[in-house]
Amino acid sequence: MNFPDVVMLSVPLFIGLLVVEIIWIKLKGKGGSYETRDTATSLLMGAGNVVAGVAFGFVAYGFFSWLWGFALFDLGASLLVIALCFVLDDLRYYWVHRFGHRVRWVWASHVNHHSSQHYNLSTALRQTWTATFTLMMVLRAPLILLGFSPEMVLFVGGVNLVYQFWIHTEAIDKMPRWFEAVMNTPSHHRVHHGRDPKYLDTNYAGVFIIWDKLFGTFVPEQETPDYGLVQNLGTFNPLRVAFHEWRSMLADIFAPNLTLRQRVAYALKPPGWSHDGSRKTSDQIKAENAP
Amino acid sequence: MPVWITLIIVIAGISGIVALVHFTGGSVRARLESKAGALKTWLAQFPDHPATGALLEPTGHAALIDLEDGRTGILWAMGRGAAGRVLQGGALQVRGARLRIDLADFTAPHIDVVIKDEPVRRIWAEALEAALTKGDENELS
Ligand SMILES: [Zn+2]
Ligand SMILES: [Zn+2]
Repeated sequence: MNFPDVVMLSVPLFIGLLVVEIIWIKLKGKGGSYETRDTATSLLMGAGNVVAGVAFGFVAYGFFSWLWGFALFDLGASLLVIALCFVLDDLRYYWVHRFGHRVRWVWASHVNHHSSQHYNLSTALRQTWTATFTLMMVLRAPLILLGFSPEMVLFVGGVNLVYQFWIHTEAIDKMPRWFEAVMNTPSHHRVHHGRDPKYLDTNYAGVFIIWDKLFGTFVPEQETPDYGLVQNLGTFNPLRVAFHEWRSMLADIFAPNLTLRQRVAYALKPPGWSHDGSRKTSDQIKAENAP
Repeated sequence: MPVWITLIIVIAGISGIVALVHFTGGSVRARLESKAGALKTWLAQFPDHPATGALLEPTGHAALIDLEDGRTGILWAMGRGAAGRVLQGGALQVRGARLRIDLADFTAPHIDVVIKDEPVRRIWAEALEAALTKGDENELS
């Protein structure tokens, strides 16, 4: 069965909704803010993400195709199987995203999504160029080995990403109670983009917020988050946005006079970890700011 | 669809949206309205570097921050947001009304502060020179 490329098909929708949000904010004078260079950077990151997908996509696809040869079952492509695949893949997304914040090697790729000080639909398009190098595609292996075809797994992953577009907005306050309880929403994901200590490393959900509630990472929105990074970038240059954390991580890994264990720790410990304790992890920041 | 058509659509789409943001007021830069405001913004960005005073650039697009540890921080408008850095090492270039601070920081390689008023610019240039040399002594601690 052939699955459509939902992300590419959604591009006109993305553009249309962006235009609507920009004009809506202008008319209402509330519901978020757009900044010229920030928006340009986000859109270029989005375009670069597509280019990177074309350039490096074969790595993940090759890996999945190879795994498919070892699959235990072929579950077919009934609606029920696709729905099940979607839910399990959302669990996969939760963990990829959690590693994306808790393992510096993966954060090096994901950090760029958090680098804007704004929160609007363009922020959703601020996507990584270096996802392939995180090797997080291994988290999709169980799905494929269980018998969900690689095409289906990529398709539901695309739907997941498209879902997350609309939640990057301040124009929507809260959704109905039942919806907020089960689904990831603008309110939940605003928290995820906050640099406020209590909001750091929370609400990793893609589509279903239930994973955060299940694994203890859910924090409801109280005061409006201060968006961005613990140390905000002083540049809008997309190349710097894309590669800065890789660069600083590699500098740490290859710094002189470290033990092998310390070098590995610079790659695998959470962002902010340092061998001499001169920096702070989100856990330390949270502990210091605990009420 | 040939690659060049895709490319044109992408470039036109991005330019169109960026132009829309610009013409709906998106290029307005953040302004620090007062010393107290600058100190508050600084503290929000750098809670571990408490500040004692601030020198505001006349248009409010930048401020020098005196830090408790004797060093100097700089806060500047990043579009509608603000970015800051503790000055340590780096060089100052004066180009007409523009003071350009080059930092050995991949995420903030250049900071530009434009000051039209000559005497004010001189005060800033001196303060920056002093801060950058002072920062040199305990470089990259
Ligand atoms: Zn994230
Ligand atoms: Zn997001």
